[in-house]
Amino acid sequence: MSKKMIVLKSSEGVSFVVEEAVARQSKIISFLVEEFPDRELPLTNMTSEILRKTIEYCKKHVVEDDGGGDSSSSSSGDLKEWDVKFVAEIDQPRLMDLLMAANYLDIPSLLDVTCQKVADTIAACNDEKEIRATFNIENDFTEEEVEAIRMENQYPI
Amino acid sequence: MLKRHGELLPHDVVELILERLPVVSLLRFKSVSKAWKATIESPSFKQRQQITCKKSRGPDVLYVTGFGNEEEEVKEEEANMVVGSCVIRSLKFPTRSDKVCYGTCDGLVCLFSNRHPSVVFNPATRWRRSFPLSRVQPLIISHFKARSKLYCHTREPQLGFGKDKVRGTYKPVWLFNSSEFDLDDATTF
Repeated sequence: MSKKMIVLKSSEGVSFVVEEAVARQSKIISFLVEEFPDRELPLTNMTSEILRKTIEYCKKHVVEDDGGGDSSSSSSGDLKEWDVKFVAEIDQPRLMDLLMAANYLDIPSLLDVTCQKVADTIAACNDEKEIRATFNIENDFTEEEVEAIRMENQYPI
Repeated sequence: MLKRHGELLPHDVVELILERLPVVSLLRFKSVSKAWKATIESPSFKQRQQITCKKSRGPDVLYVTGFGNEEEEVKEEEANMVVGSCVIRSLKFPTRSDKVCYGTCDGLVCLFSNRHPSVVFNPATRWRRSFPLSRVQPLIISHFKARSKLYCHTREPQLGFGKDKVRGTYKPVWLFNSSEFDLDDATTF
């Protein structure tokens, strides 16, 4: 039996043919293929690069029903390891794009790993200045306000 | 806010990221921006953060040793140890209370003893506060003094610590057998 395929189109107009089971990990796509079967789905806010990454993730995580799957017989431990490697290889701006894609397409597990990776990056920062620099955050505090917060955090003894 | 190609990340996504940070980092990073501070301090965020942390790591372990000493100077040093996905920190709290209320409540730990004021503290932030002696404690003290020479068995009163879900406040509650203290009516204070 041939597998049902669907077509996802990136913002550049590039078409990706994906197994429906793979794409259905996105709750949004799952909903859309039921509403509009046999239609290609335009994802106008996702670049080809990010869409390709997202599909790569979904392919790895697809659960095969027939048991004899060739692509995804990995154990949960292997999968976790794979996830860590997957996000470790992505640079900061693309990680953000992927996170937004996971948020937009509603893929909970991908959102979880990308959020965790960003959180780990934040936790590894030495101070608030480093975070602002890493993530382009504008400092809207005055010097006095920052000092006040610092004082607040001194442990009461 | 986090930016992506100069665009602001939606704040709900920023919150999803912050939820995955440990309390220690959150406290340090309140000063990143006003939006971060507002999020980190909001009660609903604190609740979600606790749930996310519980899901993502192993159980929290509380290990209390021996007697502390109120006069002893508090040392800031902490020994960190990592076991699996758990980080084990050792903290020193200046208190003479040597018993621990069963369980923790929203991350708060309550220590008590018969003679000394009970102390509630948050191991993550090291916030702490002691309660005034409860009305039953003087009775307990005099009772145990009087009976110490007789081999009379009295069950040790216990303190419980919990949250009033309606008011959102925390309460310590003593549980003891009132007849042993010659009280007729009251069972708790």
